[in-house]
Amino acid sequence: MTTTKNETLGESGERKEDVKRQKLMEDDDDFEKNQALVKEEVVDVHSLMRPYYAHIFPSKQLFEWLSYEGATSSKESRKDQQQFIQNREFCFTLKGEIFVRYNSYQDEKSLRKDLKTKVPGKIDIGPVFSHNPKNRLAYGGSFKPVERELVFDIDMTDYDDVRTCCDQAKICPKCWPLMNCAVKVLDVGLREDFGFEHILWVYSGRRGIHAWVCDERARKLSDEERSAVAEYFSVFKGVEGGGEKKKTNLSFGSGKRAWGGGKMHPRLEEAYWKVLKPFWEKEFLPAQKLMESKKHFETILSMIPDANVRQKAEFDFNTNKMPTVSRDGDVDVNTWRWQRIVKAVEDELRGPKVNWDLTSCLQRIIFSHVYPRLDAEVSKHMNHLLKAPFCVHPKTGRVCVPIDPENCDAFDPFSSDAPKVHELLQEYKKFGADENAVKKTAMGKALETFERCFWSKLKVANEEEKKKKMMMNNNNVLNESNKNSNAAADMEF
Amino acid sequence: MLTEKEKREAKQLDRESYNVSLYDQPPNEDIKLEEFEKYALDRVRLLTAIENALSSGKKPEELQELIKEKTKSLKLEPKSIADEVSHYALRLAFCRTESLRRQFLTSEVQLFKARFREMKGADKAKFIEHELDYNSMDSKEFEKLKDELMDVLCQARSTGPRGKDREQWMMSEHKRSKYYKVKFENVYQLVKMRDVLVKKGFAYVHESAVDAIVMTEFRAKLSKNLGLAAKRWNAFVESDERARLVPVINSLRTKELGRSDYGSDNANGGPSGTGIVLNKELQRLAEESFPLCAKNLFKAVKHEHHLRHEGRRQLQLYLKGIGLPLEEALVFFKTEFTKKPGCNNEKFEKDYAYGVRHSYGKEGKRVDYTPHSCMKCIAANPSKGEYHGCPFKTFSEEALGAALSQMKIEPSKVTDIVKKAKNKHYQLACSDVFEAVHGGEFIEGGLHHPNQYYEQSRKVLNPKTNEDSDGKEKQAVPTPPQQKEEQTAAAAAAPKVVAA
Repeated sequence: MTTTKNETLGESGERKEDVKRQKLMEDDDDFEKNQALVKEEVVDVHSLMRPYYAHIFPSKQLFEWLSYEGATSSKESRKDQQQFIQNREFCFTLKGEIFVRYNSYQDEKSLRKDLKTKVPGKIDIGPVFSHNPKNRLAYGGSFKPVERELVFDIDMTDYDDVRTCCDQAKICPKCWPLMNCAVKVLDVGLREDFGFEHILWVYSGRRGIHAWVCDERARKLSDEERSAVAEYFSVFKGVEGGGEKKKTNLSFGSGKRAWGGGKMHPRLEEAYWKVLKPFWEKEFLPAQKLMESKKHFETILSMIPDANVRQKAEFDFNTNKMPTVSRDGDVDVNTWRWQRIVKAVEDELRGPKVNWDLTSCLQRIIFSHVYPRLDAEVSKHMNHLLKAPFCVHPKTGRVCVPIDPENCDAFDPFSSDAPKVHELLQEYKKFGADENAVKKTAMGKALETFERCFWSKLKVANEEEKKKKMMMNNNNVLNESNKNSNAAADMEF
Repeated sequence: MLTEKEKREAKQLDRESYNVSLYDQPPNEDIKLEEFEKYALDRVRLLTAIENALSSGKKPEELQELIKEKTKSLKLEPKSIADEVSHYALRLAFCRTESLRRQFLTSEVQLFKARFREMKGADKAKFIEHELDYNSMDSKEFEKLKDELMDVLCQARSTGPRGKDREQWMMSEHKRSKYYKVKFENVYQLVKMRDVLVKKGFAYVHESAVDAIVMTEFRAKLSKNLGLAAKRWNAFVESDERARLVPVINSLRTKELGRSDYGSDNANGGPSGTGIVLNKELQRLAEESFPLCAKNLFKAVKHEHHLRHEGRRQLQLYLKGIGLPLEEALVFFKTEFTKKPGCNNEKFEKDYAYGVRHSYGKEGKRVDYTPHSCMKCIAANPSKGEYHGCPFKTFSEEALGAALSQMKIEPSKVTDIVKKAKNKHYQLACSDVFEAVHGGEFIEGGLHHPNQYYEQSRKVLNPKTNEDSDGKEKQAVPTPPQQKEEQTAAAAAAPKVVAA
């Protein structure tokens, strides 16, 4: 066992720098760790991919999932099954951004083998096609995607206008909770409204999260239907105009309502009261200090369609009025300023002249800041690649690991919750002789989440589906004979 | 339990009770070939009338009335054999090119819409339950979801009156019997807009939202079937039916919904209202009588001494249509193109002359291509540096305004026209331009073709020529609807067989 491992590690160390790295790993673990923290982008992730695929990458779990196979299968259906998985596209990104599309595999063994020889820096998963993608040219126009998980992609980059802490691909504990907020809103919506049950949430390994909705019904949605689901969840429609005057476009349902008490769509209503509003007030405002940043404060002000209310809020800001310390202890100035705005709006609404736009402006502000911002294009087409769970992000070296949606707040992407590939390899070395070595590394926890939150339920559903199909097949045979006798009866008339 | 047969019969009975067909089962009766042809020609007339009404900007109610009237006079009552047969006949006739398919689709959808609106409430409900497989809600479920349904109905954008009347409308409409429970996939358009309540994979659709869905569904299905029909035509219909249906279908197709297609008759000096046009006249004619699309291309070729492929194609066919003979066209393009540095006679002969001859049907497949219709121009999406397509669609508001002012159209009218173009009424905008530059004369029967614009313009500006060739004129120049019918009726008596 140990020897094989060393051999493989040796293989990856063919180039000089790798050998050096390896030595470093053996010499001083802590030093290495610190180095990695300081120079996150510099780590040559790619050199670690070969041992990662050889020892840690859970290709078995991945393949088993993508096969959607029941535990038992007759000979006939096993053949169908192979057909099904064989038509699934795997896209590899090789070193130097070389994309190799339309790979496909009939079993886990052949996938493993190909990973070993090609050593992709990244694996993307595409749709199941009508035919084996390897032979796509032979089928011409009839080669097309037929099935694919409904996927969602949310990137922190899309939140740059509401973050004061980081920008672009950077994330920190102050902005990451935005992703948890997104998980909470989407997960309940997908389950309650669309009835989906098998949803795998993953950390993308860098700056965002993905969702894979794997129910059979979701996999079979047409592109139009996917678009519809994606749009159903898209409220934020981009920011208009850069610089000073930003306008956030929202699609809310109707702008004006028939009468004052009108509500938003029930899904948005629930998201607002249960997730967005508490998150905004308790977590997001104090963390991002939006009310202390002139730029962000002005954006918020510009969304209040009443000069009177704006004036009151601006006065607080300019005079730098601070909250008095209440009985409960410190009051965050951001939360306090927001509450002042809320009060000013409510006071105005109680007045004799009602401005309908004002009734929804608080909701608009909160939605435009913290409602999930989907990269909807990813969801809209079956034929869109998405990075496979458990593969390593080439820039950060972090593994794309499952998140428990029920407990997403507990997931910390800055800890071993999102392990780095070199840390995993070190841990693995430590437990080297143990046959459960992988389970003891941080990957063990990730696999446990995968099993518990997603795979165990999907496995049961797969089996049920299989049983149902077998029964239907039997019935069809029966119907066929019935039909024949009916046809005979028809003839007599 | 009902047997399959009983179910089928029950469905058939229901189907007979409502007056609209989804055309999902081809008719299975024996009919005479002459009947086939008569029904088909009648439908061409019906669809032509619809298209003319659309392009002349008729209001929905007027269109509804017109369809009702025409359906009656042509005996194409919905679900009659004539109606079913003619629909399928025209599918074959109009399935073969993108622009024909689009034309057919637009008018058929309008026809369907009008018929669907005529249906009575109870029939409509039956139609919805049987044809669309929608289920009604049970009262327990309704009680549970009542408030949320109300919230959705209140904020839905796609249905019901707005403003003050909405409250009243909602009070009377928010009833269990008005809702249907459907798989969300079946009403994805509503899901997309969040105009429907979605629970556990089901959407709860209010009756008022169903119309729009039926329409999109009909359109999508027909569009798909036209594609299939085209495939089948190529695969076997054309060869199997060579002696029987093909001549009939081809003669229908050349009608292009009963209009002249502005082919090369003019350029060949054949029957024409305007006669042969020579190069030396082009500049003057462009100023006087070209529609904006042709003007734009003409200007571009004069200024840049070059046009990209699509632009060359559109202009060449247009010029052929107005009566510019091939020899003149070759000289025209050669003179202009060789003014551009780097393009000498040799290069022109090598790279461009073939294209000109091809447009005139003298190269390649030797098809005498017809000039682009408005629909085809509107469908084009020129990129930067290209001048083809419909300027009312492709120009920015400013550019369009400037172009119209150059044509000496008064500012208030320019504003109106630009507004129409902005609202996507490109043909109406173009017709308004015609009116403005032709002293209030307008295009009879609506504008549908750039060459029609030209010919009507010549007729207005130069009535003498028309008188000279009065006898011939009727055949090529678009005629008012009345005459058009005679024309097609005559063709029906003696179908023209066109070689493929």
